[in-house]
Amino acid sequence: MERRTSLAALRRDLQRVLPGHRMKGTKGSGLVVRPDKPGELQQIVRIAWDAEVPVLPMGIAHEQVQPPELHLRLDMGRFNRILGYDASSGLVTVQAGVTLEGLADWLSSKKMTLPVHCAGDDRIQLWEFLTRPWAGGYGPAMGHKLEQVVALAALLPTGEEITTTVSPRRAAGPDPTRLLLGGGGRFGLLSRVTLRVVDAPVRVARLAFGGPHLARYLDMFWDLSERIRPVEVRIIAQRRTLDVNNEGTWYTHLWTLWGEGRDLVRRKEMIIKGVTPAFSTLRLQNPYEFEGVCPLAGGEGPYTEFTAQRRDLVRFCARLSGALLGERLDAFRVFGFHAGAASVGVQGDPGAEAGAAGSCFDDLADGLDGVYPGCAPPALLELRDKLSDMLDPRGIFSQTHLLWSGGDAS
Amino acid sequence: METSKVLDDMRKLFSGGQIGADAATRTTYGADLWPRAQIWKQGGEFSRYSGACVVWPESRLDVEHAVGWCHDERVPLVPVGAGSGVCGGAMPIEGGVQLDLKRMRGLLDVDRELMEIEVEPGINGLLLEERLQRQGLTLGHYPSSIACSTAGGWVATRSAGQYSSKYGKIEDMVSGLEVITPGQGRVLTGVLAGAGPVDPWTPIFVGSEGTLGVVTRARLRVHRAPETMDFRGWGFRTPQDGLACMQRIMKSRLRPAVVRLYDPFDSVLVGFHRSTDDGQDVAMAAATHKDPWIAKVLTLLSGEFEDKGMALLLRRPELINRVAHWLPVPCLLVVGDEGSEAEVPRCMDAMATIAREQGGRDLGPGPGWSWYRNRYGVSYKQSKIFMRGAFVDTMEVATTWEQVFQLYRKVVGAMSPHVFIMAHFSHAYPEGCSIYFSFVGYRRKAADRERLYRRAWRRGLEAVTRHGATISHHHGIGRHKMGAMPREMPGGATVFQGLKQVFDPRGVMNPGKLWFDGEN
Repeated sequence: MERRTSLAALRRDLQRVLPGHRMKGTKGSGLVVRPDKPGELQQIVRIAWDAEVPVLPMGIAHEQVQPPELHLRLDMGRFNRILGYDASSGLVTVQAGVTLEGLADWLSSKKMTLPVHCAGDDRIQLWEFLTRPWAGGYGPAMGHKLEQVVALAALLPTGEEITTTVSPRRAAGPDPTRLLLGGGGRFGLLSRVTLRVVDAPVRVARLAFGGPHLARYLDMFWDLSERIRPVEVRIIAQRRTLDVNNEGTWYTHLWTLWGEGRDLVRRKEMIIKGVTPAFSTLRLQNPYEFEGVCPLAGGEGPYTEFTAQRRDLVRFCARLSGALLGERLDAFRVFGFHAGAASVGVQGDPGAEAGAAGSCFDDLADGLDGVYPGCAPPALLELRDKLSDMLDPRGIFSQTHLLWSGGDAS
Repeated sequence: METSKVLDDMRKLFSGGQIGADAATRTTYGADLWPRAQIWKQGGEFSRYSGACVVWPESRLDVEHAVGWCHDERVPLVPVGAGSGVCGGAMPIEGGVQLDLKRMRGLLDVDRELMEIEVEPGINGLLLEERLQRQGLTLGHYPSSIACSTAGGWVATRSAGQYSSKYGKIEDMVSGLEVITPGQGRVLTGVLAGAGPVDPWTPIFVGSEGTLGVVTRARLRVHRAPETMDFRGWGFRTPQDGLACMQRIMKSRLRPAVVRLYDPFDSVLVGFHRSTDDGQDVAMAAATHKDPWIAKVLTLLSGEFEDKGMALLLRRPELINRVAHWLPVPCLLVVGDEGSEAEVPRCMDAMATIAREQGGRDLGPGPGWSWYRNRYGVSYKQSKIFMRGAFVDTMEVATTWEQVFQLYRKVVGAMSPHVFIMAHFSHAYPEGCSIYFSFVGYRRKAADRERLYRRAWRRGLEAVTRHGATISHHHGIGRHKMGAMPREMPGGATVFQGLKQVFDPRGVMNPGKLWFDGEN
């Protein structure tokens, strides 16, 4: 697309909005801006809209991608204030540049915690965490990460702000919340978010088991998860534990429960009773150690995530097990069991070529209708593009996905 | 387009038995249960709006034909469920074709492994639930309109059942949709598209009130039918005390089916208890109260009133509303749960402990079971009031726990000069709850009555949006509340226009609803 402006003109326009602000140049023809106040962010987007210059928020994965020629890089690092905390309703309102780590630290001082966690790098900023196609952890008890967003404010491509009411539920027309979050950042730039928070757990219990019955474990998880409501259930298969006890493929599953007192004991017993005798499964004595040997997202090989519907999960995992045995994968894990779907994280061979992450997993979901990489199947991605053309005809935010085109690999 | 041309073309597309164009049909379908439309009828105006005809599609193909034709000919198309909406959402504001989906009433699939069902939009709520219960399942969705609403209507308006604290609202139950749109043809969302539970498109169609397309299939999550259920009533001195109890229950990670708190007026009017905290009977209090006006109000609340008396009282609603402060009754909290034999007693015990700690007085199981027996009755009591020349309406808003009592006071304060108002707090979630205001107003002439009705609503909605709460928890927007949408969701109109461009570029789907800017 032909742009209406030059780098110098863009810099001039921005300096009117951000007087005294030092704008760094980027490798290409771009500028890095660091808005501090909501008004500044809005002005920056308006300038970008008028000049038809793409706005690319800087996320953790941004360095991996070649940006377009003239562009604005948005560093949201200063946009990280806690704007409000409502203890009685369990809600916190923050600017979208806050890091998960920073927010978690702040909440811990209130003896609260987020009902979601990031499996990867906690330094990720909230806007990126919410708009990238990760399910987040804690699904069985708390739901999907996007369900933790009670209200938001976002800037549309023109700079107009859209806000939703802070309410537990509403019936006021179509709800654009997930569109703005799950659209991969194409429809709006998240500026303010109200999130659910929960009491920090009094006690955390972890139970780990190992055994060879993948399909039966998966069935059991749906059933037990509903009754026991663990914050997390994970099943992990990795190359290094394939031949434990010479029994063939070996799957480990880890249960994490929050609670206290008799209730916690009762739920632990329900798991042990449900798992061990039915499946001749071994209870592993040190779940903490187990957790450490399977870093996945933090590991060396390329990593990506799929979403799988319950009916397709067993077939998909069988295929992944085959890839594991064929040494194409280093590990995979199933987690975030929620509402009939689960997330599947896949880690490739650490020896795989850098940058190959996006393509080396392409064939894994082929032919399985209910399994797809990231957040949406192709037909819905087409709809996303059509709406994006309507809301953002100048392509201000439509380049945002470039950040993530290879960014499924951390 | 002329009505005759519309009819001619419809007759080419559908059989004679699928089309209704007589005056009685068109008048009947000219309004839903929006109380303002009932006021028009009180004034003798029975068909302010009417479509060219009503069409009853029997298959997805029929819907595709109707949608395609309306798109090609730029004729408005208004989907209709059971017509029990209260916001004018199914009214043919700009004429055109009304598509009554009640003949598409199949229960297409019951998947016990995934615990999901698939339904056509016209299936009646009560019949659906009965069929599921016979198979040992429940949807867990029990709106008070369950007998006169459809699954498609629930989806279109983001409906809530009375057990939403446990099972969620309809948007929590929908896992996928099939929608016929003018712009994109057949659109599948969620699991029907092979996508996951947080597919962004499902929440775009849920609540869209027929403005983007016609829902022809819905995939819904179901649960095992409950083995048992239990209910109990608790009395609290003030609404604040009761709210504190509700909040603690929901924050303690319990998921009870029912947590409903009634303010003093509503506690009496729902008829749970006629006796006061210290055993005094309300009717007795009425007979002995020194102030004749308060005595009249207490008489009204005790259920003994005549037309003339009601008219007299409703001319001075502020006075009646002030009586709430003196009403010698506790606020009633109804709690209840359903589920397994093991879980229900545990939940009821935990709630009882919290209620006691919060200063609640155990009223026993009676008020709870009384509520359960009458839970669908409220929708059928309004005709009596309209017959007496007054109007009655309800406003269901929602906010956070921190704001909820303030919001209650502000709305009551704003509407008190105009209407007799009461409320209950229900649909509780960990972050907050809904407030369900019921109000009655009276003016002798229908035109004055409509003016009063609109004034009361305007004041009420202004108070709600000023407070940052949502203007609708589960009734939807329709024609009625669209004037408040720019305050409900600033910037939302732009996104809605984008959606309309994609799915309904010629604006034929249910025009004049949700975000329409014109006069309402």
